[in-house]
Amino acid sequence: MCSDASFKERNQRREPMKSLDLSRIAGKTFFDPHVHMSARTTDDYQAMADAGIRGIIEPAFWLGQPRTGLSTFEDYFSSLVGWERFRASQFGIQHFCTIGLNSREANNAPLAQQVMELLPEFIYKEGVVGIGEIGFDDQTPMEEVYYRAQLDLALEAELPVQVHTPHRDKKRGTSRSMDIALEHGLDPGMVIIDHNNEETVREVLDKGFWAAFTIYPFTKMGNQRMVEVLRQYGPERIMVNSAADWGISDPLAVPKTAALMLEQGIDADWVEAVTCTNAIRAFGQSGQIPDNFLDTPAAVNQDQKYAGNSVLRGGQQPRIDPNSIIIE
Amino acid sequence: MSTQATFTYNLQAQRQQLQDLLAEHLSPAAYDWLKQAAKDAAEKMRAGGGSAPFRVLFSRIARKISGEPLHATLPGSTPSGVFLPADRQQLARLWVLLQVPPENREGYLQAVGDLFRRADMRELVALYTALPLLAYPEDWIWQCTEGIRSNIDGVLKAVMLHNPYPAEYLPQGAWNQLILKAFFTDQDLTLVSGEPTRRNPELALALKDYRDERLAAGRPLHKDLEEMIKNNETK
Repeated sequence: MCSDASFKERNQRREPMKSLDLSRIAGKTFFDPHVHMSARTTDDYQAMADAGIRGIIEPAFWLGQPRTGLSTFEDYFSSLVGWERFRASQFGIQHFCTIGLNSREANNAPLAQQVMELLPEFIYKEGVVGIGEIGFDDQTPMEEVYYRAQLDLALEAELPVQVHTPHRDKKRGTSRSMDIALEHGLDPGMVIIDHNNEETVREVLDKGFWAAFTIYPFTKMGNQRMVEVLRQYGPERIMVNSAADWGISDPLAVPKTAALMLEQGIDADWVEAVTCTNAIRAFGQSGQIPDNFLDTPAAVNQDQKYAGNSVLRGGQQPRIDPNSIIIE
Repeated sequence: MSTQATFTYNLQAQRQQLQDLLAEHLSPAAYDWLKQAAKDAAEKMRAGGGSAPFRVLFSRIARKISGEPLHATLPGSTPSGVFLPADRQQLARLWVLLQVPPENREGYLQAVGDLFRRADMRELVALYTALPLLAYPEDWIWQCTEGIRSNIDGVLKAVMLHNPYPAEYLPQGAWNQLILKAFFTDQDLTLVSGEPTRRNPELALALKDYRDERLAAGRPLHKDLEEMIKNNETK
């Protein structure tokens, strides 16, 4: 999200640019369970595909400024199950999403109520792997009302829940989020608590929830710190994501973190768990991630109209050379 | 206005054909669920309850019915001219569309329009495939042009290929845009239903400009382009 570091400060800290060396993770497969691709360009998709990312989950969130009408939610949700999904597939990346009313926009009560009525029409669509990202932002009463309502919806729909934890007053907000989920009878194994840090992780794991960590420069988790967290807690129920969005963020956070972990002697099985398979297991409880997902090229189960003529051949997007001044 | 007048083909026969296919290829549980849910949704809509139950039903198909390709021989012809997809989910969606009560024209247009507006990729493919099935055929012309504007290849194929609706209903300008877009997106023009019936000299002009543009840019020409130009020039 928005960084406190000033522009001038950031520029003064700048080191000479190196080129990215991901040879350590060559051939490995990754899954990023929290990335806002609607805000990213095809350059990112291409880089992600090259780095080995094969699946992503895009949570429904706000767009950086508040929506003011139901139609914009409708169109956004549609894009998450439509256009953005297709866009990802062109790079051989299988795109899933979570659908929900986010904590920021839960504060617009009349609109929020309308969105709640819209949700049941989207949550069963293909590729929707959970209700999310929901939870607290400022921890207002309205946020609580809609968080609770969506927990009930998740129970009814038998879908995992992706919980956004607040950036301000995080420790208390995370505790409350978990206690309310348990109060509503959710199985903590169906709930992914996101944006964790050193202060929140113990309680999340102790209470039986999944703990997701967002590797995001300046404002959230760093991956060197992540290595330490992993050493301390082991890989069980831990996953990393980039939450790359319209801010200064890195859609390669997951593979880069894997590379760093391996470099620092973390067991390869642990690395695979936290950068790929745990996320697939957690969100796979929706029944929407195919069992053979890691084995097949991105084959979004799209138009079967022409048997044998697969519309999406994955990765067939022509490649541009960003280092050339020639564009043709 | 009788129900039959709003459809240009034998509705009952088309419903029966799809229902027989579903009875044959769906699991008994899925088939029973589908029929009951559609019956409930239609009743609610007729009682003035709106079409939300249809939208929810439509989206549940992704969960209740297998999306695996259907390896079976499907009938070669259909009463409405609709192309039958070898896919249980898609067949189910086509059948559900035929259960939407058509007597109230405004309600029907709103209900089906809402399905288009909130559709995911595969639902969109089903909906555009279904154009020849829908009641009030002329009311879907605009929607057809929206499909042609899509950037999603599967959707484009559903509108343009093996689909009798565009050739029958699109005005000339929109038809020409369909053909141009088919070339732009590298479709197989031989699969455009009814193409020979819509040839016109304006299209030939546009296609010739397109050919010249490609040649000037040093880019390859589509395999069907020259023939299409020739066929549209000579009327």
